[in-house]
Amino acid sequence: MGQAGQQRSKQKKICNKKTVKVKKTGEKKTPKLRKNIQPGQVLILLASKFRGRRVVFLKQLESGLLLVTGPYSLNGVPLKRVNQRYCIATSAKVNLGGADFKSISDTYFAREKAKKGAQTQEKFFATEAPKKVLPQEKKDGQKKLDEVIVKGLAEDMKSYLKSRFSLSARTFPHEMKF
Amino acid sequence: MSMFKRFVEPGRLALITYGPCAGKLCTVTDIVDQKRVVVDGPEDITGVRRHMMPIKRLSLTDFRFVAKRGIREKVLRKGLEKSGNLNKFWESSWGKKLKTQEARKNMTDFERFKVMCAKQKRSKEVKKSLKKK
Repeated sequence: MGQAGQQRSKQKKICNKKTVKVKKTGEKKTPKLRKNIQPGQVLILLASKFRGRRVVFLKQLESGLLLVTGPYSLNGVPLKRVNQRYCIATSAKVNLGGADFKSISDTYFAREKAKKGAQTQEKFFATEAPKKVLPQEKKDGQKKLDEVIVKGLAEDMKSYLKSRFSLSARTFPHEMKF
Repeated sequence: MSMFKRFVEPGRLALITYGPCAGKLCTVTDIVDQKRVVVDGPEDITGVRRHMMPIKRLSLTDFRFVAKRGIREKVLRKGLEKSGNLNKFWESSWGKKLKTQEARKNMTDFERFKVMCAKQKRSKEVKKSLKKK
């Protein structure tokens, strides 16, 4: 019985010569950005090490992830990529004041490719992995960017960004307005 | 000595507590039977269309204006305006309570944060003054 079925399907393949449209494999559409997320919007991060922190949204990157900054001096969140689905957009908005983040894209966050150099014995048996330190230029870029943003913030907005979001008794997210 | 102060009568202002119009004010305009009344907050004022409603869904307020059975829109509007019942309700403690509940419900995250800061500030002041004593 099985063999007959195989034969039948084989026959079908020979008969149906359909031209299949070949999809371009590299083409990806940037996922849609939610309507209520605008540049300068304050978002609440819901996952990762920085969950509960309130951060400022800068722009959407090509990969669809959102570029976000603490600012670092306020809450310790650096320039970071965040998935839309893991944020709550609040209605609070911050004036970005001409901060320059046009040059930052997904390549800024690409991992540094380890040099395929000599797999020497020392390296192989190294007990301590070389520490990954953020290059000074990135730190400076962060500082420069944040300075502009923090300058335009009111005192209460600064303490708002410093604080963390959390749920307490009888607070239900589906009933809350953000 | 009558025990009751709020009666179901034409001209009585009431708050709807259940159903699609829940939370809206309306005026009783006519009485159908022991359980049902005809109610109308003129629609453009309170958003309640003229329709029949069981009394169970109403919470009567203290406010009324003298009206005959089956008053229609023109008389209803005049009565409401002259008596100023709607404003009186919103200025009463019941009305004020409803307004603060609504304000709390519609607070944004930033506003909630500011309220928390204000509460902390106030309690600090209170504790300070208590400590002084």
